[in-house]
Amino acid sequence: MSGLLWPVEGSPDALELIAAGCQEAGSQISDLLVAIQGLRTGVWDSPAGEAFAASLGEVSAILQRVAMRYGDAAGAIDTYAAALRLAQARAQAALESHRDAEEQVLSLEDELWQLSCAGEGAGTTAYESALGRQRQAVGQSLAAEGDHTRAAQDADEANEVCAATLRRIADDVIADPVPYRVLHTLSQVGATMASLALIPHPATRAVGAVGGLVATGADVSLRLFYDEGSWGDLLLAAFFTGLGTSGKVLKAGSGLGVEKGADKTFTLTRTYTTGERVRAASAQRWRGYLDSFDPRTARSGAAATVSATTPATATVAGGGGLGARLGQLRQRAADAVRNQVDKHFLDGLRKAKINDTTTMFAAGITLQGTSKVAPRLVPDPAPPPPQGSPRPAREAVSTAAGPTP
Amino acid sequence: MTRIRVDADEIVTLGHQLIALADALSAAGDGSVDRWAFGGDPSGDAFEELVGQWRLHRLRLVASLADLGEAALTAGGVYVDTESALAGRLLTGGPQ
Repeated sequence: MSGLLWPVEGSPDALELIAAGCQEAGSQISDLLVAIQGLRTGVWDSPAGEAFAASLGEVSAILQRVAMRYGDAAGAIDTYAAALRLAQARAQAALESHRDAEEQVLSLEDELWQLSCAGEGAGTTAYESALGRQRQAVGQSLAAEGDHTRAAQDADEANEVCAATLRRIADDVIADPVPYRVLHTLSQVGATMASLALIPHPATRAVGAVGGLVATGADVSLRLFYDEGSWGDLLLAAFFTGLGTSGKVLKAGSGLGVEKGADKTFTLTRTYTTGERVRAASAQRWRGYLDSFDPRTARSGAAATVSATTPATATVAGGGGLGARLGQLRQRAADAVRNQVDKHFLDGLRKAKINDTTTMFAAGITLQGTSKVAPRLVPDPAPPPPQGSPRPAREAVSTAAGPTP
Repeated sequence: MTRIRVDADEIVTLGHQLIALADALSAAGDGSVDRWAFGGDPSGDAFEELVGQWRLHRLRLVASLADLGEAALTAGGVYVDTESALAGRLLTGGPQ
């Protein structure tokens, strides 16, 4: 005997509701088609009415097809619902019979054991009677399993027939062409992948970036080849894709005009309007982007990485045992994390408070998202001032923005 | 001379019907929420395909129906206004 039997999946009640919905949709469209036909028989008998009826011609052909789709589907789903209801009832009856038989078999097993213990073993009337009843229960259980299997097979066959009918109905002139389906699927999958960029991990951000590209490519193709969507929507999507960058600009802009002194106090040195803050911070980011292509800056950055790492290694190497070295490493990492937090967040917040631009700072943090802030808690070596550079980037930005009272 | 015979109320009703159908079709889902009722593949897949995979024509149909519905509403409204004004003038003997 096998284990438990399971009910046959699916809901005939829900299927009947779906079928009724399809039927109703088909009927409403058919009624509308009748009303459209009525236009030509006196409701709107004028040149304007003729033009309108002509415009409805193409729409009517598609509506007819849609009405047929829903009407035919309703019939197929209703048929399947009836077959499924019958199969489920048979499966349920088999399931209950099987459960009863299993319980009886176990109960008789106990009875046989007790009879054996009492000295009434095989050959005695009581034992043989109990054994006979147990054989009957086993037979009932096996028969129930067979019934359940046949009911499940019938449900599967009805499912296959329904599927074949629905597929035949769906294979018509209004079915989406294959290239369109592919592009639409790419758009959806790409958008899902792009949402992974919100998870603060380099791998997910990379996947998110690829997903964003795939989705944008698919959306542009849909716009170009199928006239779907609008260029405005696409630009809006591109804008939201760049929110991370926008967040950085807002956060940096909120702190402009406040300098941190050697004694770690903050001083207001210049006032900016909101527009000037955004422009200045944008210029700062753009300048940083261009600097990244400058070989001199790139070389000095590489040197900075080495020079910032080497002393730490030397200090650690000069310590005692492995435990002491690990302790020093942990301490150093903790200090670096604190410094990083202080540098990237608290300083910005303090500057924003002095500038009364806390909201702008908060908006910047929000737009950047956890994905941008959290990875930076892992200390990056601070780059030294670029060698040969005429002045620090911050001064350059301040000059580029220009003071405005 | 062009002969015009118009039932303005019918035209307005038709406009409402067209717009209602456009709304219903634009909100039509992809069938994925109902596929559980089929008890799994393959009929669940087929139903999803039937309901969802005529999106291109559905969106174009929605746009056409909305445009035609608005046109019918506008025209029907104008006919109603014209008939009202004409009836008023005939009853009061105003300028013809």
